[in-house]
Amino acid sequence: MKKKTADAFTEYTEALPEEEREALKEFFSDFDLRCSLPKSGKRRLRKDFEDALLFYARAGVPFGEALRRIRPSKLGAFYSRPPVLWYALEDSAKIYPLSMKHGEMAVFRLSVYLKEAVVPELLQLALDFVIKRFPGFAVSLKKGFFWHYLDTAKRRFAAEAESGVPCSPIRLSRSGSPAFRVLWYGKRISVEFFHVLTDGTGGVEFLKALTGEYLKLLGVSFPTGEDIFDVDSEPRASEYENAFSKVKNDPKSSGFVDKSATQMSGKLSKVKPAAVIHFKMDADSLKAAAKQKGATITVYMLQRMFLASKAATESMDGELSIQVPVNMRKFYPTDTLRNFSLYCWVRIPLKKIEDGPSLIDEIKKQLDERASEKSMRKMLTMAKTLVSSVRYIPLFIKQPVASAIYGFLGDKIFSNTISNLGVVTFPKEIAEHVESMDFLLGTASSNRAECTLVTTGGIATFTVTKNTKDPTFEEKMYELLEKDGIRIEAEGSGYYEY
Amino acid sequence: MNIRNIYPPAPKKKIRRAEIIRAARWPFFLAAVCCILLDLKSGHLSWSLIVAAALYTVWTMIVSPDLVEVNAISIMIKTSAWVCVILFAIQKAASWRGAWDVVSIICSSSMIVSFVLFVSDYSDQRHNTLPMIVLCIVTLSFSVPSFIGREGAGKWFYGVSGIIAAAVFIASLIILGRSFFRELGKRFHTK
Repeated sequence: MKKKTADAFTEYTEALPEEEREALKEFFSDFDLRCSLPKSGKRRLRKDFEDALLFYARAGVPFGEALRRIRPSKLGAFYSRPPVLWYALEDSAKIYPLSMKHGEMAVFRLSVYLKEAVVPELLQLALDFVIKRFPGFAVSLKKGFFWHYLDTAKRRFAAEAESGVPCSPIRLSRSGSPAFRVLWYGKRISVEFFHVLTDGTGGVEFLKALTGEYLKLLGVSFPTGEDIFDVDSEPRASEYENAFSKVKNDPKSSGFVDKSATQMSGKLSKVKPAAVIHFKMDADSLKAAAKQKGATITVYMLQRMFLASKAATESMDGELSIQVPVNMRKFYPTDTLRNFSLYCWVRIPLKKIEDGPSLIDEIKKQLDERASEKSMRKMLTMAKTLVSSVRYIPLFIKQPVASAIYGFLGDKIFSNTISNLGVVTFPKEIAEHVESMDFLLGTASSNRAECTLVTTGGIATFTVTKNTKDPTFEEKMYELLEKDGIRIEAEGSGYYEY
Repeated sequence: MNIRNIYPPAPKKKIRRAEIIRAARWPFFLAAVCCILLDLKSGHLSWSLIVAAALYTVWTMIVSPDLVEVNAISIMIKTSAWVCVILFAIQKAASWRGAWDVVSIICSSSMIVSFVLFVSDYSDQRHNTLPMIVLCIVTLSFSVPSFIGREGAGKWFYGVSGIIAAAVFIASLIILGRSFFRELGKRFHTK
């Protein structure tokens, strides 16, 4: 196959007129100047350009225009400079490498659905161009004596055809292994991140920039600015700061621990996730349904989730607890693309979960209190205190202890999660090519489901990541949402196990 | 509810490492505990130390290897370190003095192989040199006193391993230059 492509490129160059062949020679001399990767990496990167040129030739893009779109200057100096940067993990990210196990890793995934099928050759080149703007993502996880850290890895990062289970663990062990993966399937571009790199906000920025660059290579032009990163601009130091350290500690700190919550019923699957289900809904209908109940979208979805979770458990007593990640940027504005989120939870006894305004009021009350700046600052203080108190303990002692504690507690204090990324906006020239987005969490160990919500282009996508075959939760959610007049288009994967 | 499938089929994995770990955890643990109990019953801990060290080596190297930083140099150094631990256990259990001589040979070979790996793939391996440097320091710190304090033919094993450790250490320092100190800064950060 490789030889076939090489031959195709040779054939292509031989068929070019002398003048264009000269231009191509100059083009690759420029490329050579900008790429100091080891031989194999350089060969692969060069092949990305060759494949893109072949695609343009097939698509009838004029030669000059093709060279302009993929000019090697777009690589910047990323591939020519030696890797020197490294990043200590921010306070909330330190737990991820400590708690990961074989087959279990905190991976989340963001996808964008385009209106046309993805051109893999251009997606690959878009990734080659975009990565320079996100140096904090071009890293490999390493072990220090006291903490893990992220070490810059200068390499060609691959965009691959999707083939496995979504959010499956990323192989980090090899030298220079990336901590994210870019995948494509049909009209979908997905990026899966190990949470150690970033949170949803940083991930969205990366996916938007990648989608923008990909569309640019397809000939779409758009202004860069508020809605999307200019991938040719210089990265700012503030984008990789540990934003936790900028927040003043609260005199009081509050913990992460609570008593175990009731779990939904159903045998936990061996393959995680067991399935993925997306409910694509009209954002306006969802908003209207929430408004009718006098709630925000998050509160409304939480109420529906409590009811569906109750239906999905056989327990008669106990409490259901739903985790709600909180983006700390809303309290402490920052440019950081790294982790800057914490979480709170809403906990309600099963007996009190009934469809009605009282449930909405209870959720609202708890959320107002627990997701407030004051509460989050207490939790942040606790996170910082914990990290600081174990900073001088060697990693080989910390790791097994943290792993055992996490294994014991895990996500047992929650029954479910709802992570609402809010509305993601694109410049209108890009938005015309984007159909919708989705967001997947793949981190649960004992929770039977984890949910997310993201809205773009008027479509709100509610995603359920299932860890059991029992379909009660999603069926009940579907029923409850439909009952409120929301039209749902259900999409997803089949069951990966059995 | 009709769900439209929009995901590609995932290839079925027959055996997953997580399942192997789950299945092997208790047999490994029980084997180690049984050995220690039997040994204690016989009056002293001897061969159970060897078995426990060997079981742990198999566990960390094969059954449940590290998830981070498994590269040629780290595998080499880790394997050597565990072999040395087993030899130490053998020395304790069987009072075999020759074990230390073998340790010095293993450390020397390990340093040479790691150094070759480092120079032959400099761009990839330069961030993985710390285990090799640590091994050099450890080897130096036991070779020098052993060379001075020991009499007889075995003395030269320590002399040679000490020289190899110093040579590899200095050569790595020269090759890495300032990156060596940058590497130290990263590896020992407490931020």
